[in-house]
Amino acid sequence: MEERYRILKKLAEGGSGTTYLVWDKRLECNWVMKRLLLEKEGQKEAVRREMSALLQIRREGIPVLADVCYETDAVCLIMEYMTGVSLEERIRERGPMEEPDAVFCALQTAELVGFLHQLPTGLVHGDLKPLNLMFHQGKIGLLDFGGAFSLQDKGQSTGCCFTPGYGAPELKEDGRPTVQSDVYAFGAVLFFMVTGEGPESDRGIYPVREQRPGLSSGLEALILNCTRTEPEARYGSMEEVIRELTVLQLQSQQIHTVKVKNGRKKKGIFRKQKITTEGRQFRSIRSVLRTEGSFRDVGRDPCYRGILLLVAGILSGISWMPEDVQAARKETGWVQDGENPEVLGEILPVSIRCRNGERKLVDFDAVYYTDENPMFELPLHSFEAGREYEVTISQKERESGQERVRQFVICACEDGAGEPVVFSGH
Amino acid sequence: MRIRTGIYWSGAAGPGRNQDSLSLQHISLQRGECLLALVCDGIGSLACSEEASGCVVHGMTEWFYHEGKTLILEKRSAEMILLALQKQLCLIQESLKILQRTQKIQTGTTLSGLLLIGNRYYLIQIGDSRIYRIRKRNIPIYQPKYHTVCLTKDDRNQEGHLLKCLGMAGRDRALVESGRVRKKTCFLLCTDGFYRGSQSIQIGQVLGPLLDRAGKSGRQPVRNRQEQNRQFDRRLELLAEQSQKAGSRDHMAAVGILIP
Repeated sequence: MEERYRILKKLAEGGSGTTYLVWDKRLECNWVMKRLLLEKEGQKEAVRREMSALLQIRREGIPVLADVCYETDAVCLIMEYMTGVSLEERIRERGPMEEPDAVFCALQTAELVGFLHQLPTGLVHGDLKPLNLMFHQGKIGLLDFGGAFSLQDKGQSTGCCFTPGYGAPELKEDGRPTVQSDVYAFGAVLFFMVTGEGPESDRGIYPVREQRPGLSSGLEALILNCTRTEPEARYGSMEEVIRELTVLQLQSQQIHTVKVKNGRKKKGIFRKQKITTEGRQFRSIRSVLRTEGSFRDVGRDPCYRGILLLVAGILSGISWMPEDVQAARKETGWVQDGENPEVLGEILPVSIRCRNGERKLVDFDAVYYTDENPMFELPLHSFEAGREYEVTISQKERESGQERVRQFVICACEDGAGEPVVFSGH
Repeated sequence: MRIRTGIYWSGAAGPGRNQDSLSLQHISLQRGECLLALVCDGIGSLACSEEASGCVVHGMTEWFYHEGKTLILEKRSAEMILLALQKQLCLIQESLKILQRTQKIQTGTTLSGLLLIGNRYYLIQIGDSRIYRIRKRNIPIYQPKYHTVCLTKDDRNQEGHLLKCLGMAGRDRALVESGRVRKKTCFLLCTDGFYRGSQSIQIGQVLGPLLDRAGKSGRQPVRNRQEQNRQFDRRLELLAEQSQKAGSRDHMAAVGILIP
């Protein structure tokens, strides 16, 4: 081996072995040499799996196995050298990705993993994590097939490894990776891409829009659906994930508009226009929602029974509101006749959550029926620093019809800690 | 284009809970007025169907104020909006499935929806709620003056059993299609309790006169729109009374939209 390969530098070192960059004296090119120690139990099995997996794969983004050398206590796999940085390094250096970038990278990753699943032998990667994803020549590359497992292999998996946070919960019991466990790991990787937080942290995987409200609900739903605890509740295959990602990618594309000068279209000048929906870019003309559905959260004893009529945060200083909007509010039933509608200012978005964190209602004004104590959450981006806001929560007992109104003033500080404002319904 | 709207909801009157739900969200954006109208009729034979209908109207309304608004502002194509609507309906199906699994109940609802963006409408239909379109005839000789046509097809078999709904089977797919809106058109979305007592000709007779007035008052100030909306509400109440007189005992929900 020493006759042919010269070690240039050490790239990485792990529990199972060491990776080096080597120079091929004969072919005059760089390779990666993965030297795997055979001392540990199950290491031989891992090496066999990685070799058999790499032998049957020929695809851009997956390193080619070029040679295998045996030593007394180790095996050296000579593989294609993929230059670039890993996803983990990239996120640590530059922070979380924007949605279009994350969807673009996720789509490539999903295609690679989906390709493995669709091989005749049905291969699952088994150890998908940011460290094993490499940005190589502008594309994503998938590395480390030590945890790969053939779906046709009916024997008990031994020596299977998975990374905490990225390994599906069922792997702790069974230890045998499946398509669903790859889907889970993929969801965890996507979560890491958009939040910059590892799923192994105390908080685990949470709805990503809690931290980044600008992300789309589709992306949030995709991550949550991938990382469900029950394998049956996740996506059935990577194809489904790819379909969802394609829709997200189409939706997140920016619009190119023609720049108009003096009323005429000027050829060749295009401007990228990104329209954000942050803030109020619309005016409500009529908003009515009538239902007797109460959205009971199951498995919990009703601790509070009543109708909560939610009137949102009120921006002090602004008392303008068009007449038709006032009428719309009266229509929904939560502004009493005779009440001075001028006290209402700008309606801020409000989220309602249960105590378990589940989101119950939306950022618009509607009558909300509840059987338990909800939490009202005002997202930080709704507030302007240095201004005072008056919040009114009006609630009505369903049976007795008794009405209570609570009002308080909050002040938005310049140096906010970054946590949303939360009130209890009681 | 100053769209006028009307609603009718029979409230909690009558026996049991009202399993019908409706939502009307009419907003003004920079590129014009947009509207989402939804009518859901919970399946009476199943338990807690008001939960299902409420869940659907809330889910779709939430979609309208988040993803829908973004799609409208970014001037997405009709195909994209249809795709997004279908996707949202799939998500709602999933949430209904979870509701059923956790509550250990079977529930379901019909849905008729209309999304109006510029001169294009997007129609959502599953079950036996209906969407009518009323237009004025150009030459009303030997025919009623107003042409009323039902745009949707009832998902019922010959015995009158409902074939499709949101929630129960969890696999039924809603019809989502798009079309062009012409001026002086009125749409009516209603549940089966509302249309059973009224013939389509009667619907045309009651709502059609609003089309005549639409042209005259179309450019009037905004403050008059409230009065016009109230008139529309009264017309729908009239239709509901007609249905009750004809023997309809079901709860009713209806949303009317008038494009002048």
